[in-house]
Amino acid sequence: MAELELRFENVKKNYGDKQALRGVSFTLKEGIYGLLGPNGAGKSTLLNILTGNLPATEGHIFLNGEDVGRMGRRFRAKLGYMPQQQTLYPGFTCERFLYYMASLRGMSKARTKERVGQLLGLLALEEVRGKPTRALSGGMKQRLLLAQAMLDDPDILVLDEPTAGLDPRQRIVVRNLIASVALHKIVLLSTHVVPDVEYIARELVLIGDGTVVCQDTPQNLCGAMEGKVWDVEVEEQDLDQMGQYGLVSSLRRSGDGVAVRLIADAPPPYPSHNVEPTLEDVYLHTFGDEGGL
Amino acid sequence: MRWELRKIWGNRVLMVLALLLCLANGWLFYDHATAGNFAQMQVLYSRTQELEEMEEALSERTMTDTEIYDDTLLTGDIYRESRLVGDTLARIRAVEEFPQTMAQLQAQARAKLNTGLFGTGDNFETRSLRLTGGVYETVRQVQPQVCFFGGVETLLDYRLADVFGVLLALAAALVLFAQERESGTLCLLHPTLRGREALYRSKCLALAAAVLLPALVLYGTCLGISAGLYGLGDWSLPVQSVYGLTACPYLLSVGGFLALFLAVKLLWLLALAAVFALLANALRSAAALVGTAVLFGLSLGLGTLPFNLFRCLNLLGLGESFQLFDGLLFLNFFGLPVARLHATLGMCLVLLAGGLAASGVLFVRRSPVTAARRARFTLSLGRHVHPIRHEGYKLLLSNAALGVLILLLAVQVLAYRDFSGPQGIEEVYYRQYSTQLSGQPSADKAAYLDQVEQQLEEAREEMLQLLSQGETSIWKTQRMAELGQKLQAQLPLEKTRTQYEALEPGQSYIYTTPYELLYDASGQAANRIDLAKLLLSLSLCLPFFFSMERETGVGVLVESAGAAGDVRRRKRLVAWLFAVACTAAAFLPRMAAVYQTYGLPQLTARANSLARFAALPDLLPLWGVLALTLVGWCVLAWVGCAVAEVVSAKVRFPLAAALICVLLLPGLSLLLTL
Repeated sequence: MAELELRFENVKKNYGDKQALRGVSFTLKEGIYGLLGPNGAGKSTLLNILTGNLPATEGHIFLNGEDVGRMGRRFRAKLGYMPQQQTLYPGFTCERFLYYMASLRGMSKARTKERVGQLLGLLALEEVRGKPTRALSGGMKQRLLLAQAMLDDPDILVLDEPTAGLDPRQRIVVRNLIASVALHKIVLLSTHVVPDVEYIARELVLIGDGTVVCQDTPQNLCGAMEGKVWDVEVEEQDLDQMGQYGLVSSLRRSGDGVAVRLIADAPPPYPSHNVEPTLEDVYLHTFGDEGGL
Repeated sequence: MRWELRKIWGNRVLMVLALLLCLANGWLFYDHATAGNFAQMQVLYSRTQELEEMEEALSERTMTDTEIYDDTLLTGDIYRESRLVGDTLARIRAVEEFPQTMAQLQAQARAKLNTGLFGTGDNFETRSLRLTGGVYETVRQVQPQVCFFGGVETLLDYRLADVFGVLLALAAALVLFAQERESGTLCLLHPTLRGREALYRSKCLALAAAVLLPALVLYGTCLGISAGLYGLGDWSLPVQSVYGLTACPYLLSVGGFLALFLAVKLLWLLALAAVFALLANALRSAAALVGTAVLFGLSLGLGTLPFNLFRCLNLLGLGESFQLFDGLLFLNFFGLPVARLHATLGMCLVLLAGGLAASGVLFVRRSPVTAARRARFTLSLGRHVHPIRHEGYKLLLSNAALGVLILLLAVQVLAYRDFSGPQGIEEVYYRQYSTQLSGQPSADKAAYLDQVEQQLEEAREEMLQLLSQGETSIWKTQRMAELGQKLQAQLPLEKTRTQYEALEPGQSYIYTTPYELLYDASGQAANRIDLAKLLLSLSLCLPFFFSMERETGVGVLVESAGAAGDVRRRKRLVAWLFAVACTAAAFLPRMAAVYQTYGLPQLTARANSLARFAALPDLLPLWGVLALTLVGWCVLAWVGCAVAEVVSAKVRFPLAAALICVLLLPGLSLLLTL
């Protein structure tokens, strides 16, 4: 079977005068890809265009060389989508909701029964299968939405903030689940939570201000930051000064002073040593200067 | 389809509402069916041989008997009995004289054709006349029979089942389309294999089921009650045997007519559902409700036009199934006469197909991402922190209440633009005398009255003189005509004098016509209809306004800021202010129309100068009565606001709350007019 390839070619989206996407181009092959970027970068817009919920102003998306817009139903048959918003039918039970989504995916009764049972167990929703969705906690709703995205074992899985609202243990479970089903699939995972993709992503696509800033493996991205991340010991009164030497990644108490993790090209005039860069450092370095939150 | 139906049936509030509507329909229909005298008429139908004798005997009794009540009679009094027997005989004679009626209609059509009054060429009028002759030639062969069809007759003029059917169709369309998009679930469904055309087809089938099943229950209930009360007669007889359908131009049995009558109703409801689906795909729920009100308002307006095409083929006219069969009417389609029944069926099919196609395009092609839709026109109200203005913005702009207010005002202005009251020569004289006598009584005014009376007396004497003269001449004829016109002032003068002489000290003579128009029986009925329009306007906006915080989730933030009570009070105040504006829009146009035509004289005079307000205290001027009336309507509007607030708080589904308010508020006030 030929390897899957999803290619974004110069995808643009304008809302009036505002350019939400400014010509995004990148290629995805089988594996997990993290889509990282600050709020308003265009991640959700890109995913909405991919899933057909929004038309692109310009540009195309190709699956194995074929325009997904022309493919229509054939493309949607290969797609599993988990939206960011927790949109469910309040009066439907979990099981009924999954059966409904399965009917929209054209799944047979037997396969639906099999997959619903599997996914409810896998995502720890067995005990609430008969409960109406309005009675579920935020984390359960999130897992239910993930379950519906994975129902028909789609070739392309698009997940928008899949771990939002989950506790740390559940996050790990979901992360591992995604990793285990990603074989021979393209999984595009949009998230703010860098650890979600740090260990499982084949590549990261960093989007900022409607453009792709870079696309590379986590190792290469971190490698590019080698020598630029410093662990600095300072007195508390000197903390305010750190901003002029670089980007402060994190702070922690260390003895009588504070240990600052600093991203800078050169070491600050304080006791410091290089540390191994992480993806959070890469994220901050890439987007840290884009004003505000 | 069953999944889509679950979305409707899974909504408990809607289901309870539908059940209540079905129960209300049964109760109201029973009330309608038993309000007339069909029970007694049914008894008389078993004594058809004696009816003419009974009619004569009763006629004599009405002239000779001093006692009108008689327990041996079906109705208990001789006048009502006489009317009942007369009505029954009219029905029987209509059937017996059917051949003559048909011959007469044919002859009329032939005569019109032969006179050439409608042209001699091949135009619409001549084609219609030819067709009319042909149709009645065919129908003439029918032999209707005398049979009691009270059960059928009660079905024909009962429209509340239509209203309930329309409301349920609207609710179903909004749940399936507007709500799906507003709740965000469409973003989830659209990217699936069957999430576009297939999903749309399922929704359409579900909509059809959600319209047809309740409609069958509603109409079936009416049929069952009619059958239970009066029976439905012999269904195999020609439909021309039913009173009111004697002129039916189609060869149908009574059973066939009932089936066709029901089928046309159902087709009409489906056509409306398609239009609602289009609105629901194009607009938010609140805006779709307003859009529906606009469409029905337009239909009402079109129904008043003198053109048959607009009267018959508007959204409301299409549902008048009885009128499709009670006579032959051709509509002019570019010179081609098309029978109203065929035109109605065609129009319903066009609306059904067109509505479904257009809403399908919107459903499949329109982006379900609501955040992507930007308002083309925004009203900048500047930066402010005043909380009342924020609530005002939410109501007037976010919930389209400003549009509703403008629409209400436009409807009222249009409704009363051609307002007219009494216009004849007597009214002219009465107004003339009232203008002279207006205000406090005085010797001059009394003298004026005497002078006018004297003039009339002279005119009367001259008239008598002329009448006693044998010869006729042009001058005499002319003079008598002039005197005749003058003498028409007699009744107005008597009315004026009676009103003037009844005045007590401190009271003023007032031209009563404008005040009678505002406060007499027809004025009060008009006021109740205006009240229904006012309450409908409130019902369209307020439920969504009051439930905004809960629906958007902002309520949690308001609650945590400790401002929930303040926000509630401000919302109430803004709603009351809006209600005052709507009251003015609903009632002032009629007052303005009366003022424009007749004026509102002597506003500062004591209100009890008018006989209608005799019981009012001396201190109250006429303007006070008008003001209190408006205040009264405002109070009722505020009650409406309170009901909307309570319903919105109790019913968690704003669409259902709006539908409940629409049924409760204007519905109740309309029932008061019945």
